[in-house]
Amino acid sequence: MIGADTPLAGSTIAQRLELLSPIIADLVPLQMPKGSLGERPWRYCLLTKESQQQLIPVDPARAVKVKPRSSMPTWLDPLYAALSIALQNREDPRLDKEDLRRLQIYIREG
Amino acid sequence: MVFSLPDELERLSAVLRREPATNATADALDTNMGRFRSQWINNRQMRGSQLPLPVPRNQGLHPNGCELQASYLDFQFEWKEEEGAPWRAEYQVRVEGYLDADGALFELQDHWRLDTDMYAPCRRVAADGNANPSKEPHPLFHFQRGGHAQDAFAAVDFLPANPCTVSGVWKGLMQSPGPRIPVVPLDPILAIDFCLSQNDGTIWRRLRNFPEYLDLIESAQSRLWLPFFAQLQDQKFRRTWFGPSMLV
Repeated sequence: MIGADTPLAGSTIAQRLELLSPIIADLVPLQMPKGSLGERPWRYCLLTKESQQQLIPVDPARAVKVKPRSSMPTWLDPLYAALSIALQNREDPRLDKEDLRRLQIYIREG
Repeated sequence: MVFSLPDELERLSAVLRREPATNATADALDTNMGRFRSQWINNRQMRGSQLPLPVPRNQGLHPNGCELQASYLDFQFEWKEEEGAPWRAEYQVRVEGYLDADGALFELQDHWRLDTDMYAPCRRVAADGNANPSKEPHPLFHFQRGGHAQDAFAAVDFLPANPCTVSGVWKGLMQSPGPRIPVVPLDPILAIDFCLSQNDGTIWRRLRNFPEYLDLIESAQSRLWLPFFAQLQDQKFRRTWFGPSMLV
């Protein structure tokens, strides 16, 4: 059941489908694109949006933080890049180097 | 590989900053981040003091009519990679308020803490908990009211006390050292989460709507609690955790 103690933000794609299917008909589970890891896609890949105007879902736990050039208001969601896209753009100074290092262990999965 | 607690605290701070009620907590984490990082790199330790927390919700407070002003968390955390549980995980919460009773102004404080006994050499020797020198069993990680900060607060200009300049017959709340309630171990991430949840569930639930927050808490619980729960299968560990009261 969806509620204050079980926020949607904590659920995986499969769990969301299970929770929402009774109230929304014909729900189709999101397929994570190749190179975007994780099961909780609540953010999008900024680099893909900038370069191809496409929205690729990312799981913030398995994505690389993008540091904005200027400070953002706190009500805006943090920015991310899908791991594979970030690896193709390693030289982008906005990419969080610590995240790139932290996520190394998942590269083979992607 | 040893986990990087400072990195995780930095990520926690970024999420806390998105919730106005926890901005001050984020500020304090960021201000102390350099010190946290050097403490962690040098000794796998972390010591924080006066970390501001949202005050508890104004519900069921004593004395009636009091106003809450501030809440703080002090902590000491020490990790030894070879151990299955934190070597030291101590958290002290202080809530401050006041009562304006017309002719008298009362400065008020509430203190509670999560303690660990594992760092005490006597406790380490007594792996089964039998040689604990305390008359009352002290579980390895336990909740308890009071603490040294409360003792210091109550030492001067405190009511009720003897001698007392107020005459008449009055009632007061009393506090004894017990009970020492066994709890699961907490690292600073989980302790902040626990304190936020206990002080103000509304703020805590707003934070849990950020996937970044949930991910941090889930990771910390997996790292600390899953091995802990697994160790509870071992009776010797159960007795070390719970104390000599544990017979099974």
